[in-house]
Amino acid sequence: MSPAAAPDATAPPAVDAQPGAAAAPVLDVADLTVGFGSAAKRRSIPLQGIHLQVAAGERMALVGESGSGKSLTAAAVLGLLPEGAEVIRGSIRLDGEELIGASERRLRALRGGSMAIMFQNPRASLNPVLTVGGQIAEVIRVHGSAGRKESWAQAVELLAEMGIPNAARRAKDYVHQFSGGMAQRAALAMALSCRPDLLIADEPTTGLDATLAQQVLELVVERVAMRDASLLLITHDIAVARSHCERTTVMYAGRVMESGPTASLTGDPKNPYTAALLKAFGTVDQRRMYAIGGVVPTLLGELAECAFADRCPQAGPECRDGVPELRRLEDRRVACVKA
Amino acid sequence: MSISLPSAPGAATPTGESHPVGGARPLRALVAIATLAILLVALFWAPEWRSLRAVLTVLAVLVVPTVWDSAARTVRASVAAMLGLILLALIGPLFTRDPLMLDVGASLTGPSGDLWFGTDQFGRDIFARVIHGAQLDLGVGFSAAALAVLVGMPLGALSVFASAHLRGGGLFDSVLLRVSESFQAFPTLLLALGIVAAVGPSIPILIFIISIVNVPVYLRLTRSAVAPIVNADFVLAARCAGQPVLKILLRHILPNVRQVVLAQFSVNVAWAIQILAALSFVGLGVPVPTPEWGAMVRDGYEQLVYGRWWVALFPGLAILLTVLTLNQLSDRVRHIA
Amino acid sequence: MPLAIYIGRRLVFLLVALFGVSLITFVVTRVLPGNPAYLIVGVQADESTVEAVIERLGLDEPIHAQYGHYMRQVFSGDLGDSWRTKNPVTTDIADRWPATIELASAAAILSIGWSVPFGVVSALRRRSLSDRLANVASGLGVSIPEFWLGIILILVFFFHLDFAPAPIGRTLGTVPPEVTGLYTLDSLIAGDWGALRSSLAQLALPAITLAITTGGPLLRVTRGFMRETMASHHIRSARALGVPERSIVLRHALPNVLLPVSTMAALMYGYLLGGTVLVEFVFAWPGIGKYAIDSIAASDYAPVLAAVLLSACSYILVYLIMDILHFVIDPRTRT
Repeated sequence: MSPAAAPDATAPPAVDAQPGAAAAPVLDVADLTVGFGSAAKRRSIPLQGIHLQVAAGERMALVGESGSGKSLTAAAVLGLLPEGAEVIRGSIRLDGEELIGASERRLRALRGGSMAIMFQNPRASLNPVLTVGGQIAEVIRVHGSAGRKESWAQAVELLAEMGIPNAARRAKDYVHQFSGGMAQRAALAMALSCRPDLLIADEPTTGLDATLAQQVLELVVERVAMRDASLLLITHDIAVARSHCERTTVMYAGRVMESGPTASLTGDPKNPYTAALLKAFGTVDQRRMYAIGGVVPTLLGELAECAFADRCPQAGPECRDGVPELRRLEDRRVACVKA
Repeated sequence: MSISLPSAPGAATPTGESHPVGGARPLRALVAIATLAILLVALFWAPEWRSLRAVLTVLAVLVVPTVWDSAARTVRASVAAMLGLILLALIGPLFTRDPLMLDVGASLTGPSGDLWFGTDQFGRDIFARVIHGAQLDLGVGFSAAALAVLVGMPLGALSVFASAHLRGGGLFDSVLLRVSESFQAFPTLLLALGIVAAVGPSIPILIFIISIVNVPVYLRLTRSAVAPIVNADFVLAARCAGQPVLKILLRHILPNVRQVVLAQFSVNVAWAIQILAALSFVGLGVPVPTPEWGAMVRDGYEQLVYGRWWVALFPGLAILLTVLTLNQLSDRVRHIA
Repeated sequence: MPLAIYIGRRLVFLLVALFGVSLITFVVTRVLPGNPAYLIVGVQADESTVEAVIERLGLDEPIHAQYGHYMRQVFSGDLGDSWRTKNPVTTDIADRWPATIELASAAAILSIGWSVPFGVVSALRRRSLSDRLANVASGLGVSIPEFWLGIILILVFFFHLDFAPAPIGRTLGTVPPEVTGLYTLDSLIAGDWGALRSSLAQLALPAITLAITTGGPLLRVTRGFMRETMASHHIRSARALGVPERSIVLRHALPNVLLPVSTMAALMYGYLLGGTVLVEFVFAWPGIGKYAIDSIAASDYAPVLAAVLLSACSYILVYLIMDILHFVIDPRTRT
C-alpha cells in the first residue's frame, strides 16, 4: 500500500496546528464531552475531553476500535447526536464558527454545505425509492440556487467524475440497481456536491472487497484533494490511516490517546495503546496474530483513571491516579503518564 | 453508534428528558378542553337535559379508556390490571344479586344507588349480570386462545422444522401455509357464523370454533419466529449430536418464541372475547338467559329506540375495558421482548 | 421480472388460495356434523324434499365425489336457493352486494383518511402529545366492539342529539336510478342532490363506526413503519447532508412508508368487504352481512355460505390487485 497517488498539492502542516498559528484549522474540536441521559440522571459518558484539529487541505485519520466513540464524534460535529445524548462541555468550531449552540437552521445550512459526510454501508444510506441522481440534485438545490434542470446536470456530471460509466443513464437508476462500489461512488458524489471544506468519511469501505476498498479510498482522497478540502477519515484499521492520511488521531473508550503525524506516530508510538493497535493490525513484524487482552470498558460515568489501564501491558499504580492529560510531546499529543 | 434523530437545537444546554413522563399532562388538558367543547356545543345545539346525557355517554366511552390507558403503562401495571379482572370474575359473583332473578315489576329502571347499572327488560340486575358475565367471557376467551395455541404453535414450529430438516417437509410446510392463508381470506366472523349455524350453538362448540379461526394466526406467527432460529448453529449442533427432533423442538426452539406467543396469546383472548360477544350479539352465541356481555348488548340494542341507554352501555363498556386491558398487556410484553 | 410472468405467478397463487377456500367451505357445509340437507331446505321441509336434496347434492356419494359435485355446482353459478326469499341466492346477492361495497368503500376512505396522516405525524416525535393521543386512539380502535360502538353512536347522534337520521337502511328519500348500485354515486350521476344528501347521511354513522375500528390497527402499522423509516440509514444520510426536515418527511420517508401501508390498507379493505356484518346488522344496512344474519336466523343456510364464499373471494381479489399494483409502483421490483 502506498500513500495516496494524488499529487500532494497541500504539504502536511509542520507540527501540531498550534492555536493561533498560521492557518486556523478547518475543524477544531476542543474538550468535547458528550453524555447520555440528563444532567440529573447521567447514564454514560461516551466521549470525554476530545481534542481534534483538522487543518485546511489536511487528511486526518480517526482510528479506534468499535465503540471507541469515533462515529459519535462525527455525529457531534454534524450536530446529529442520537436521541438522549447531549454535549456536556467543549467546543466544536468549523472554519472558526462555533457549532455548539448554533441554530438548527444554521447547522442545516452547514451540513452538506461546508461539511459533508459519507457513511459505511452506502446502499443503505441512499433512499431506495428515489433515483440516485434525484437525491444528489436535491442536495445541490438545498445548498445553492440551482434549478431543477441545472442541479440534475450537475449531479450527472458529479457521477461521471466519480467514475460511474454512463452517468446520464445511471442517474435515473435506483440504489438497488447499483453495486456496493458504485453506490459508494454515488454517495461520494452526493457528499462532495456542494464543495464542502471538510469531508467526513465514516468507514467508507466497510463491506467492499479489498481491491474495491482500495479504489474507493483512493478516489475519495484524490477528489477531496482536487477540491482543496480536508478529510476526516474514520477507520478501525490503522493500516488504512497509514497509507492515506498525513495525520492520525487514535481514540480509545471515548478519549483521545494519541495524535500526530501518521508516519512518526506509527513508526514510534508513544502511547502503549497505539503500539498495541499497531501490533494487532499486523503492521509490526510478527509471526502470530496479536490480540489486545481484556475488553473495552463500559462508559458508565467519568472514569478517574486511564481507560486503558486494565488492559495495558505497561500499566503501573501511577496510571490509576486520575485521567492522564493529553499533553504535547515532541511532534504530537499523547495521553499517557508513561510516555 | 447510530445517529437517529437530531437532538434539539442548542445541544449544549441540557436537553435530555425535560418531561420524564412527557405528554401525560398535555393529554389530560386536551381531554378536559375537548370535554368542555363537546359540552358547550351540545348545550348550544339542544339545550336540554338529554343532550347533557349524550355528552356524559361520550365521555364515559372516551375518558374511561384514556385514563385506563395512561394508568397501565408498565408491564407490572397491566399484569396487575389483568389479575384484577380475573379476580373480579372469580369472586365478584359471590357478592352480587342473582343475575337470573326476574322482577318484572322493576323492569327497565335506570341506574340508581341501589341498582348501580339499572335493570333490563325482565328486571334483572345488570350489574350482577355484567359481573357474572366476566366469568363466562374470560373463561371462553382463555380456553379458546389456549386451544388455538396448543394446536397452532407446535404445528407452526413443526412445519418450519420439517421443511428445514426432514425429507418431504417442504411440501408439508407449503401446504400448511397455503391452507392457513386461505383461512386468512375468510372474514373471521362470517366463517364463525357459518360454522355455528351449521353445528348449532353451545359453549364447547363456541370455544372450538373461535379457536379454529385462530389456529392459522399462531401457525404463521410461530413459523415466522422460528424460521430464523431453525437454521441457527445451535440447532444444527443439537441435530449433529443426535438428539431426536421433538426434543430439539421443545428444548431449543419453543423457548425462543415464548415471548412473542405470550403477547399474541393476550391479544387472542381479547379477540376470542370479541368474537364470542359478536356471535351472541347476533343471537348465535350462548343460550338465552346466560349472562354474556354481547347478548346483553343485544338486549340493550332492542331498548335503544326508547332511549334506555344503560342496558347496552355497561356490558359494552365491560367488553371494551377487558379487551383494552388484554391488548395493553400484550403491548407491554412485546416491548420487553 | 416482467409483469406478465409476475401476474401469471400470482394467478397460480390465486387458484391455490381459491382451492383452499372452496375446501374449507366444503368441509363446513358437508363434513361437519348436522344434516346438510336440512340446512339447505330448512327444518320444516318434509321427508321427500329432504330425500330429493340428498339425491341432488349427492350426499350419499363418497366424500371426494361430493367435493367434485360441489365444485361443479359453484362453477356453474348455482349457489342454491334461499327458501326465505324464494330467490336464487345469486340474485339476492347481486341485489345486496352494492350496498356492502358502498359501506366498505366509504369506511375504508374515512379510515385511511384519519389513521394514515395521524400515524405519520405521531411517529415523528416520541412521547409527544400526538404520540400519546395516537396510543389512545389506536388502543380504542382495536379494542372497541364495533356493534357496541354503532349503538353508542346511534344513541348519541340520532337519539339524543338528532344530528343523524334514523339508522334504517341506505336512504330515507327516493332511490336514485340504478347505474352502479352505489346510492351516493348514482345520485351524483343523476344530479339528484336530495338523494345524495340522504344517502350520505345514512352512510355517515355506519361508515364512521367501521372507520374507527379499522383505523386503529392501520394507525399502529403506519406509525411503526414511519418510526422505522425515520431511524433508517438513508434518512440519517439525507439529514447529514442538510436536507430540510419537510423534505425528509414528505419526499424521503413518506414513499417508503406508503408502500407497505398501502398493502395494509388493501388488506383492510378486503377484510371490510366481509367484515361489515355486525355494523350492517346494527344499522339495518341491506348488504351481504345483514342478508347472512337474517338467513341464519331463519335457518336458511345457502345464503350464509354464499356470503362467506363471496367475501373470501373478494378478499383474495383485492389482495391480488394490490400486489400487482405494487409490482408496478415499487422501483425495487420494477428492475
